Amino acid sequence: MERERLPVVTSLWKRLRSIFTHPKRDLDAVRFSLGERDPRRTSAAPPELRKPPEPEGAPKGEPIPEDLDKAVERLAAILHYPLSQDLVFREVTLPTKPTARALVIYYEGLAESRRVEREIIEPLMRFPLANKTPKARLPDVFLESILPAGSSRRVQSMEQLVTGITMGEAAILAETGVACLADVKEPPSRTPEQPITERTTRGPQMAFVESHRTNSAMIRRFVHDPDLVLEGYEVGRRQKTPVALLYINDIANPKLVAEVRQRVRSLDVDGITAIGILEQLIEDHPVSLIPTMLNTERPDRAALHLLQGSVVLLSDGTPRCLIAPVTFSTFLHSPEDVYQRYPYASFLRVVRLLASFVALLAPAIYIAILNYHSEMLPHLLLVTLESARQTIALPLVISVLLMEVAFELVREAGVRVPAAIAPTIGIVGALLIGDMAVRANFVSPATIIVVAATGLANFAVPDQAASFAIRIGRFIFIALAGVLGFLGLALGFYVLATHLAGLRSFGVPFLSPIGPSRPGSSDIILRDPYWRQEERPSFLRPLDLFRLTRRSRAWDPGGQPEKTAGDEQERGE
Amino acid sequence: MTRRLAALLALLLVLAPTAFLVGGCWDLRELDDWAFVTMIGLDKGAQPGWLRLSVLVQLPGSVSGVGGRVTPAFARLTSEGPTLFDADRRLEELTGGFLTYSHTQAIVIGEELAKEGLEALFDSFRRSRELHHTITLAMADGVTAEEVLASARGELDPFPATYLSRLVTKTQAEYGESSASCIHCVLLAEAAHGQEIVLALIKLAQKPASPSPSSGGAGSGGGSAGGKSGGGEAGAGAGAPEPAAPVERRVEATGIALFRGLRLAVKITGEQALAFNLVSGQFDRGRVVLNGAATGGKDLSVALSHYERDVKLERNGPSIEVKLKVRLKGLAEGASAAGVDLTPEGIGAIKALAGSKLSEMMSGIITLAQTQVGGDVFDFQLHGRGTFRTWPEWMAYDWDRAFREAKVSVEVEVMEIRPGLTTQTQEYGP
Amino acid sequence: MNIKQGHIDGRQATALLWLAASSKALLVVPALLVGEGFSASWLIPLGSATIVAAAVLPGLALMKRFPGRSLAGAAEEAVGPIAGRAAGLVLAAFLATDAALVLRQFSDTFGSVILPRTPIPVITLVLVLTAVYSAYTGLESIGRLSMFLVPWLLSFYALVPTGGAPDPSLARLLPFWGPGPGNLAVQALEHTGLYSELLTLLILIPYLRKPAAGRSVAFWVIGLTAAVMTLVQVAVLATFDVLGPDRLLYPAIHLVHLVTLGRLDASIEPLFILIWVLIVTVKLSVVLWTLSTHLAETLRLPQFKPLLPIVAVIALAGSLLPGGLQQTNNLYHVTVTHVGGAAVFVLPGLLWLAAVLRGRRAA
Repeated sequence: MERERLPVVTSLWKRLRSIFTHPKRDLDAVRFSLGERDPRRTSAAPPELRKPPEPEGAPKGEPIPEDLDKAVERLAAILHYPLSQDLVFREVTLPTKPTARALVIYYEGLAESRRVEREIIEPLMRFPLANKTPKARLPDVFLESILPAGSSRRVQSMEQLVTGITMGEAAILAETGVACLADVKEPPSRTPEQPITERTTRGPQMAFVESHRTNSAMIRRFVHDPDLVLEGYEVGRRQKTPVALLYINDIANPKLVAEVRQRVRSLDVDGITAIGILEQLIEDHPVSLIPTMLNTERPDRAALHLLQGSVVLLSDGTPRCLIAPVTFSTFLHSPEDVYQRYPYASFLRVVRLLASFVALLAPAIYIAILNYHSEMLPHLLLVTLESARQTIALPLVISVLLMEVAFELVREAGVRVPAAIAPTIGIVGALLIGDMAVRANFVSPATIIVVAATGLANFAVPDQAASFAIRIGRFIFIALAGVLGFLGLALGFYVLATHLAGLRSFGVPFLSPIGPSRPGSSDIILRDPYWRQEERPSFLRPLDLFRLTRRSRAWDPGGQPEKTAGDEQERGE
Repeated sequence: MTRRLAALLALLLVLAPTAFLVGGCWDLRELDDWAFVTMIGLDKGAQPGWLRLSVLVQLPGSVSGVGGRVTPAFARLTSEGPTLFDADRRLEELTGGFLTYSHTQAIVIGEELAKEGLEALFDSFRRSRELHHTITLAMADGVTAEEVLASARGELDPFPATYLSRLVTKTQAEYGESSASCIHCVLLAEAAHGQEIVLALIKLAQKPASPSPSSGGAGSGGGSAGGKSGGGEAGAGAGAPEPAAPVERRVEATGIALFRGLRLAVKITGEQALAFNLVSGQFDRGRVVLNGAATGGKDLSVALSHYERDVKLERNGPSIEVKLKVRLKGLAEGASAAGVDLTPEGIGAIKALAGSKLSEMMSGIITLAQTQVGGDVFDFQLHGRGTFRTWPEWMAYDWDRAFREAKVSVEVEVMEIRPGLTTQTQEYGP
Repeated sequence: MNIKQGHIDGRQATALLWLAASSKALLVVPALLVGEGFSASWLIPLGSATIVAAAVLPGLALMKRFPGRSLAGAAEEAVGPIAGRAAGLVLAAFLATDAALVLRQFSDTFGSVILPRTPIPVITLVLVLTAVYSAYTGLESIGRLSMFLVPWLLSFYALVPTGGAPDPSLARLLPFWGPGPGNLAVQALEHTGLYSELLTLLILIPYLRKPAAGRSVAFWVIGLTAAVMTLVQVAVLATFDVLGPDRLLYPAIHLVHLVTLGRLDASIEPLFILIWVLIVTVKLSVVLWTLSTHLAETLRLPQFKPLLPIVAVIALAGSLLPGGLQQTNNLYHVTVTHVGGAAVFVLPGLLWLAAVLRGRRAA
């Protein structure tokens, strides 16, 4: 007996001791900052991941067999040829001396058949000087004189070849061990359209599309800066999704860029289908309710953040981009704010702040006051509310929850239903459910007002992820208020605030620049006039702090706008 | 580990809603669980030393529908007990609901109780978690508080308690003939060294014949309310006399009750009340009627405003000397119609007349306070305590005696009298 | 660029300690002060502040003498391991008492005034859990959070005196000398424990980004706390007079109870409850953090986090010890606001003296 128990005791003791004798970390919940990195988080990642990738040099992996038949056989095996029906093997005889065989391999649909015919097969067949070319020089001739596609290149390894084919390029294999890839891809795509979730009245009306090249082009359209760097990565062992990391070299902090780069390169997954997956893989707090990266569909917004010193990530296949780092105020901002004159923008932001408070807390406060602190109600309001509640059988908490759930249902149904009847569902849902619930004495009209105002306020929150966080948080607060009234609310609020204060987005404290407070131009809730926003956000620690000179309005000699040349002209006329 | 965590989470997910629905929420009360008391009446009970507690409870469901007119109904309940707490508990037993005083807006104290002393009430006031300490406290003049509760209803204001407290504040602010008091003020006066309590008076007057159909039931706007109230009285009354039918009565809020040592000492009304406010510094606006040589022997009503008061208090050993200076402006209403001399000289004479009349009134009320009340009802102690160096010295000082023997000089300066164009009736109240 | 981890800057430390210290003004302290200083009780925080401004200097000098060391480490350096640890444990006991009594005061009042039917242990428990969570997330989070709360607190303090309780009068601050100048001076000396948060400052000096800022933080905290306490005391006296607060256990909440929002006819109690809970929770988290950190340093444990639950249980248990609210308040008065001064100021002073006499310096 004793012996059996002893190991348990010792292991317990070891555990207990290990709690206390764990190597001393930082006394706070240590997170890395821009300056110092968290040892826990980065221990797995070798330091070379933090450096930008070197240009492709020596190929690695399995070499391509010299013999064409062997090479084809191997390729067919890798790509499961007879099974995969959309793979095309097209054999061409080259008019060299002596004639040589070549094979063009591509996925039908992924590579555009017409371009393959016109840009590869036709030149190969009709090449007039071919018969004068010795077989041995074929590889060079291929690239120099035959293949017109811009990004054609020689490849050395099987791995490169396979990757190219799966990405939609056409592979050309010929005798004498020639292996080239020609970019003829034509993946399904569409032209840029209006933003759907981040609509604005002012500013550009353009949203990202699925192709990350088109997307990066859209960003470059806003930032004509030679220092705008685009680093390309392939993420995933199987999928090899192209991911682009964009930053402005002389603004973005190199440590930030290195951190993002390292996180992207260290990923070991099958692949990412959409950028949302990438977000979950690289964000700081994957289990928190609060988003710590901005997911936007607007290229202009991405450009604005790039110019502030943030980093943008694009992934092929998703019409959105990721922006990091962000702070809490980012989620109250709309790209429109910058395009508006500052008083309007500030006003709208105050409205949004109010809206997020209402969306998060209104039902909870309503419950807390009515169920716990009715002495706070003005007399007449009390009388009205009390009378309205007389015939209602359900407890207030339940009726509020009922309406909230109904609201969520209408919302979710509105997303799913066919576009043609979506507006009807919205109206029917809102009107019928609300009205019937009141008529059936399930809920009081005041509850409907509160729930409706909450829903409305939730739509005023500009960011989708933030509005999700608020929607879920609302239910937590309802529960807290239902159990402990204002005490529960206050404690919940405290925990939320502590949580927010502890969050970091890529090393930047989430509550910056308020806690910790940082100097700089005011752009949190209220916004300075644009010409007074001289500094980029200092919590991003940009290399170039100033975006305007102190005299950005150089034409304005002493704050007297009427003395412009234009005015003189007008007066002259 | 992960599976265990998942199991734990699942358990939490099951338990949390259960806990949420079953346990906790000790203080959760739905609005309709409460019975909100809007007004309290306190009288002497039938047995010696007992208190009679009457409450006016707002009946829920009395506001009609969406956008409907507010026609509230009230139930009047009564019970008795040796203490306020006991009486309240009996009421709770009677109603079975949770009576709450959090929205009480007025408390009326019956005259009999006020004569006997308010000691019994103060402890309850101090301890009550629900009673808001800013609510109006008034004394019923010549009637029981219960009768006031039965009759207090404005023609325009459907809520008796708001009506009553507004009536008191308005009478003080507009006519200077009442003294709005609240629980906090009374507790403060009771605690302060040398200060006495002052309450507003609520009177029941004969109501002029009115065609209003709503003045039927006893303190209720509907049949059901009347029924409930009747039941309540039957249960708790314990042989208490049924109050006189309050059909044709209405409340008035003129007059001030001056207390001495928590017992009613003197009731003052009219010009005395006005003079009291002028002395105590609570004056805002009011009216005085002048009659003398300057007015040509006719009554001239002067509306007073722009009141300023300056108190200088000197202390020589056990005695004090108070110099009171009051400055005012006046508006002579209907002066031209009355044919009063409006030349500068005439106005000057009226000013002098007003000054002498007001200082005479104020001296009168001060003498009354010194002789009949015998305590500092004017809050002179706030000025007196500054003459002491330390707190123990101040507490050891016999302020009551000093006040009774104080030499008080009154100086009234009427800075301006303007001939007014408006004519107001002498009647006031709704 | 080089942010030190788990460290806060001077401004955050000031906000943090100020919030924690001003929680006293929202609890029983104003009533205790009125009971002793009568009409001049508003002078006591001011008098204590001047004494404390001098008394904190030896402690700061001790920390400066051993840069990079925690208070416990400095104590060991100064008087040797045994005496140093003993001193550390005395200070820890003081902090534990503070935590337990604040917890009890708050939950008792909250339980009797705002949630009368909720069992008091439930309130205590949720409060402790919140504070433990907050302390667990670390000093940085609490510091940032306090920066966030400061504007709220300021607007609240602005609202209460201007909100208009009926009939306030500054004449109630007279007679000026209250219990007499001599007594007043003695009371100012006795009540140096009002500024017991300076002990927290000594403990968190190693966690300041610039430890040299400790002195300015100390003076800011003393000044701001004195301002808040004086303001609250003046408001309480002007509204309730001298005899009133003695009977009202928690003047701040009674004061708020009198304030209504003009035309809205609504009381500002919800706002008060929010502010009250937030500030008391900040205070509790700070005390728990300080206590566990200090204890870990005294006992030479590498981490403070495993100590948090233990410390929380100690505080919980301690909060249940007093028999009633009156006893809690008396205990608080005796241990925190009276002896507190000795623990907080005399002990570090003695340590500093010992270090100077023995010629000990940081290696």
